[in-house]
Amino acid sequence: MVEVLKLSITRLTELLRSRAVSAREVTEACLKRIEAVEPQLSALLTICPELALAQADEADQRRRKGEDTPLLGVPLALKDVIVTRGVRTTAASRILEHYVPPYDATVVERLRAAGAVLLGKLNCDEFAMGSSTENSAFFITRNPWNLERVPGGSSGGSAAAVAAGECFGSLGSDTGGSIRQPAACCGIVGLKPTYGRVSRYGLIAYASSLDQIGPMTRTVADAAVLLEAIAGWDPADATSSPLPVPSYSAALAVEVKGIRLALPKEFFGEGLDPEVRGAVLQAVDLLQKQGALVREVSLPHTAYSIPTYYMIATAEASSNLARFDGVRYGLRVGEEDRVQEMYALTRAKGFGAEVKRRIMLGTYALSAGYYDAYYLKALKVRTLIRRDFEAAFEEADLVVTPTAPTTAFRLGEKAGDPLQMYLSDVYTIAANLAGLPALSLPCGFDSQGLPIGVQLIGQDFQEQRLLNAAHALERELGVSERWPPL
Amino acid sequence: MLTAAPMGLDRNKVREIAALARLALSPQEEESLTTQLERILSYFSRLSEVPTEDVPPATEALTRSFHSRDDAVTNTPRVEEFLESAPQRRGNFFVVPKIIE
Repeated sequence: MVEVLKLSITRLTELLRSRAVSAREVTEACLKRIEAVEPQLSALLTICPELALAQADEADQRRRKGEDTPLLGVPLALKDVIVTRGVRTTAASRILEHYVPPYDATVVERLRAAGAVLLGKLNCDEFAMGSSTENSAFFITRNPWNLERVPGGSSGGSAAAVAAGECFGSLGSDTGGSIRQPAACCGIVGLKPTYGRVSRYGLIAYASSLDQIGPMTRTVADAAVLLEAIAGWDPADATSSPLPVPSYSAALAVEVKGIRLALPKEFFGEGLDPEVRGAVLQAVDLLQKQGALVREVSLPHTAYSIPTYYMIATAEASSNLARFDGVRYGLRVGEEDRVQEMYALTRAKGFGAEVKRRIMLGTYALSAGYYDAYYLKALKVRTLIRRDFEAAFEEADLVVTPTAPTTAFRLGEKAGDPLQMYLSDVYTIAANLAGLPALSLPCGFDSQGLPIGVQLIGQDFQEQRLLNAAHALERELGVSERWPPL
Repeated sequence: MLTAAPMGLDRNKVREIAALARLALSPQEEESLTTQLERILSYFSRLSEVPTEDVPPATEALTRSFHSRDDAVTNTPRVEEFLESAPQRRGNFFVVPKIIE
């Protein structure tokens, strides 16, 4: 791999600023890398070399005129559930296979304003529904650490591309772990911000009360840089927060002494791979040696988080995906039939098995006679899950857990068993249900050389604290120095 | 008041739900979904164990920063651009198949 591709965004920006490299040079290097590894990796659904080079040239021109914006000339790629004006956006679904959005998501507008270069759109599970990227309607993505393994999901393309050096960073979306779990599987940093921290305008909706867009990067500092570029109030998203956005990267500091860490015992029990457990506890030890205070806590409703999550997420999905009806954009099947049949045929042909399954589950949970037992019940348990965290945070600053129960599993291993696949989200969904910020950081490798992730969960809008603790741990561990063999 | 979640997911129920969801399922899909949803829902029925009397549903807890805005048009009309994505159009209209006989 060309050395420049191994740089962090932070270091690349310094070199671009001093004009040691040009945006065109690094963009060309990324495109070459993409050309070289895509036949094996398949992380990108759409590659836009012409657009990227034009944006890179523009960045170089602006630089020559003395302009400087935080991401000027930095090549990034985006999960394909984030709409991009003029660039095909599919949500990895047949129903949007040829869809070219007439507008940009707010995060895309902000990245453009910051000067970023868009290399392409990344593969994921269809409509972000899945934990392995095997639910993409187009192709599977492989894990750069081991090509027979999944990259995780749903933002598997984002994680694989960043880990393999195809781009310097990416954005994913996280509804139940879709940023953090693939970040753990591919050995990178993934941050799901507090609900409301980042605008969801232009994110193709899966479950609106849980969805958040966030950065996926190779270093903690890079996550800070991307988060401050995309966060903040947006009139187009009524749930976005008006709280000011701190300068996360400027305030990044090693801050561990006296920080109170809580280890929820429910997250270290049955089903946790011993090697994952060992690496996570070792990371906790390192923090403790630097002065962190560690205690065990209980989050008693953890066992109910999977059914709670899947009831709420599928109910919201069944409503959100009702818009795909073959009328205004996307696929249409059954032109010669009546309109009701046209809807049903279009959706039958356009949606894959997992999307249909979730629409069916959600429609069932919301239907007459079942609403109270499933949907309303889940909303009440969600309150209890949130309260569990509120109680834990009375005596702690951060909750520390594994990100996933195992390292990346084999391609096809869980594809035939939807319930098994759902269970792989066991450690990540609680943060979505409670609306809390959470970050996955690489903390080691198992005996097969597969990356392991540790998850830090923080209080509302305490992203800085998450980033600072992760930054401290990253320095101690040195894990992000390692590169996949690809 | 609720002791167990209502079960009884059969093929007819699956058809009924598919009709509500506007999904034309094949007989094979109906069959596999009946089995899969039954299994998933029976796992999910553990929710009924949780006492939730006097617990409010989490509808507002997570919209702490909810705000409203003026009901004003801020974007400029881009009719042509939007209609470019239409599966079928006539003039400035989306065309759909016949709705009533």
